[in-house]
Amino acid sequence: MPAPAVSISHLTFQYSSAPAPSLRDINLTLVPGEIALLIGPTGAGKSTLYLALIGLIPHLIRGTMAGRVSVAGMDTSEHSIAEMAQKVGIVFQDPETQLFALTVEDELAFGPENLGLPKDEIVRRIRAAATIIQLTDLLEREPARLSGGQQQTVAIGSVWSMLPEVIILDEPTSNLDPQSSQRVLALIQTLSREHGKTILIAEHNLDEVAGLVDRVFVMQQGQIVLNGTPQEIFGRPAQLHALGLAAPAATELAYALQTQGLDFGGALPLTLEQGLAAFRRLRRGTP
Amino acid sequence: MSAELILEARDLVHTYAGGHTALRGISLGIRPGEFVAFVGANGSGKTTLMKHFNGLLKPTQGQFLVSGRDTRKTTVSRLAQTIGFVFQNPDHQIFCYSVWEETLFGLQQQKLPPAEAQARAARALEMVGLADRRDRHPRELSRGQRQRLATASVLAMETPVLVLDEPTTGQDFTARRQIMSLAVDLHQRGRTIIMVTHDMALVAEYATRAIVLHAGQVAQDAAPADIFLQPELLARTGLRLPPLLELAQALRAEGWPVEGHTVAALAQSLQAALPAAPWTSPGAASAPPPSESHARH
Repeated sequence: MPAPAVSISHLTFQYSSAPAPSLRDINLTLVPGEIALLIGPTGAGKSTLYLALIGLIPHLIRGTMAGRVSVAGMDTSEHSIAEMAQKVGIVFQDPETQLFALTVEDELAFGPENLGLPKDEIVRRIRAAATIIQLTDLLEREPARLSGGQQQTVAIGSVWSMLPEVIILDEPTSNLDPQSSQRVLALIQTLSREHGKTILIAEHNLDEVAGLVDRVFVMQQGQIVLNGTPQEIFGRPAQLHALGLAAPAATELAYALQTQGLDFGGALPLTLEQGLAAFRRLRRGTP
Repeated sequence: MSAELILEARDLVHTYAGGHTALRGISLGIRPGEFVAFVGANGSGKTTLMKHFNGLLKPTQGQFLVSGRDTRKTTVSRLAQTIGFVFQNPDHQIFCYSVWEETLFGLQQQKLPPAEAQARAARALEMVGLADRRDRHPRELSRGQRQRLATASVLAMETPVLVLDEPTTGQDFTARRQIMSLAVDLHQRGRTIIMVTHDMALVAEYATRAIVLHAGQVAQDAAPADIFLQPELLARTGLRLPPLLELAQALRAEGWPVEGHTVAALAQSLQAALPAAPWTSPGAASAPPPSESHARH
């Protein structure tokens, strides 16, 4: 059993200006290399949870915190924001808010330069990041003039150059067209499966991510109300409906038939491919 | 004829100062009361075209007309009385210190009587579900709530045309339903609704007309259902069917007689096609019957 990449126990946080806690008794563990999906309505506390993971809570943001947050074995209360930045990076929803350098290369260099690393190490990291994000031919370009998909990719690269163990992505595909979305999700899969990074991703586009993630957390009003495998969470749409959420399209369609008595052999399909396969089995009469 | 059009583009070309031509000869007309979706991949010219609606950009060739008036000869404030804009990034729009001030701002600029302005602002906040947050600083709101605030400040202007730029970006299932039922409601009251999006599920569900932009030109202008039946058009223009319709199409390709655009309709047609499938006894399924309110798309 490896040490957890992320361990949150009994985390409660209330902003100093707020009338009630934004996070309430959060318990969450991610094992190294896992891709976890975080879903929940706006205002559920997802953003506050990110701030706690990168150490801005409790170091910079005023409020009352109880409980413990540890990333890669480092307790956020005992390590500075700069120390935490070498263990956990965040890619925001809107890459424009994150990118500011005049070239892609400077963007990738910014984090390592701030760590005061030797020049050859910085160069090595820029190359590694550019290779990972497959934008080696765009290093001289101005990020502001790249497409939305390329900008999102550069934002991921700038986090990668810090070599964190945990990467948080806040709705990375919400501003992207289908092709760009698929490229970004494939990149996320590579970061986890080939490089062992632990990923926490918030995403509304469930159809795309249902087949990609290992674990799903559902947040509502500052609490984690559901926690399980994709099959445990999406495969039981009634519990999502009760929370005002929907399951992936293939699951919803199969569920509508299941409620009429159709037998899907215990597990509802989650992705389009699984949906198609399930209906093929039905045709052959083998649930 | 053009007098009947509330928006009209005539051979519209737009070339940016840097030399990039984003629009390459667009001609189209939108009649009052339509529910139109502009769709296209990133970089197709959607945003550039939209900025011509309110005069933020002017054609470098051709014309753009709002209620028959050439935008080059009309002030932006005049255009703003016809067209309300809800932008993709609410933070580009919000600048006041409270939700209430933000909602009132545009109305005060128009010098409406205070009682009328306050009534409109209150109505708009009610419509987006932020009535209980009027004294909060916009920064204290979540992104989804800020997007709804931006919507409220535009709704308060009560313009005949409402443009929604990626209205569901960053919105969860519930908020998406809220914002779109608001659009449907306004449409039923006679407003012209224009949405700019790459969310094809949204187009399938709500629009009566879809205009596909690709490389600065109109690639197709048709009913959404017609566009969904053209896989090569979708592939060429970087669009993708909504997941539910993608599954329905794949099933149809394998010979299933599936009909409809909603979970309920598709399920019904599949049920009829599966008489010999392994059905358990009626009512044996542990789950409750499907609820219409959760049917997707």
